[in-house]
Amino acid sequence: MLSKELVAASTVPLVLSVLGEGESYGYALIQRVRALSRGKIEWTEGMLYPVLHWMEAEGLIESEWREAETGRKRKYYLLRREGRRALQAEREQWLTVHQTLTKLWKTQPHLT
Amino acid sequence: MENSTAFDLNNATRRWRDGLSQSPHFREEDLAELEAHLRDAVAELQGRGLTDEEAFLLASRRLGNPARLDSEFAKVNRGQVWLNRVLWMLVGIQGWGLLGSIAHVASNAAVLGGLTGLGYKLPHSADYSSGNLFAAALFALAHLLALTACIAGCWWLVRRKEDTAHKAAVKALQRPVLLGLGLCVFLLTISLSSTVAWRLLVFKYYAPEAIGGIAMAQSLSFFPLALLQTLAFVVLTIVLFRRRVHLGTAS
Repeated sequence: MLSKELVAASTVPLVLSVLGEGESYGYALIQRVRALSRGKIEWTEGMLYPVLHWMEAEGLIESEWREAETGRKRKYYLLRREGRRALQAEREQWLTVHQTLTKLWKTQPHLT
Repeated sequence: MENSTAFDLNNATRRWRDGLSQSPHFREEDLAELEAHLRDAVAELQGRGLTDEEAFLLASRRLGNPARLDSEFAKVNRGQVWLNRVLWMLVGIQGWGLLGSIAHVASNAAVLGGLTGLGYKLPHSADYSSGNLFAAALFALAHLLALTACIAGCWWLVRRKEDTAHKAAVKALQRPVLLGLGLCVFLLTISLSSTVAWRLLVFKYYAPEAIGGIAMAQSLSFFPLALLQTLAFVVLTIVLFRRRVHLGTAS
């Protein structure tokens, strides 16, 4: 389980990275992160939406209501150019932390 | 409560959403988005063999407790909340003025028309004669009735015809210039007819000596109306403030 502080700090880069794969909506975003982290990153699901709205207000992402295959409407989010730039910056920062820690712990970094 | 067959998923979802909508920090769109999420989560849990009730309870717990959601949404929607408040203040001020003007026009027309039609002659002098007091009471009563009818009409429109009213509003807002011009013409017509037009009619159709009696009766009719309006506003303000303070300490 991740600490509260780390969950808070990693939400934006995680959202940016998932949306980097293509547009998505809140519920699917959470499912994707849960599956990739094998359940170790557990968000209070409703808390994601204020973050998404903040990111939209900052111009990182944009949203659109569309009808899903279930017939219900969903709000889809996708990355804007500003968001791609932010993703790149986040990526560099998190990799720096990751590389430093792995060197200190003398484990082999498994980076793609 | 008793068993799972008594559990109505749609009902529970609606109550859950209504609970959140009590807070000013959620926009309609936020509620729609959270509800879409809840329904997706419930559908998935049902697929895993949970009953409606279990799926709903688990899904709503995963979404987070309403108080925490409220405080998180409050952070991002702060500006929105203020915009909403200002909007409703404007609607309130304009609306109250408009209702008053409509009631004024309607009651003046009804009383003067009615009295003249019945051949009743108002006292010609501006004094506290019984004739003037009688006419004043009629003016006040007619105004009160007209105002009540206007308020009831608005209430009915909002409560009973909410969907129709909402659709009409959305459609009208798509043409802001036309809507603005229309509103200006409408508001000006009402306010002019409540102040200028009916006086012009009185001056045109009544003998100069009758006008004093009419003006006297009119002025007298304002006393009970002002008293009632002040009383209603004071009571309403205190009741609402008390509720607010109470809610604030309870949460």
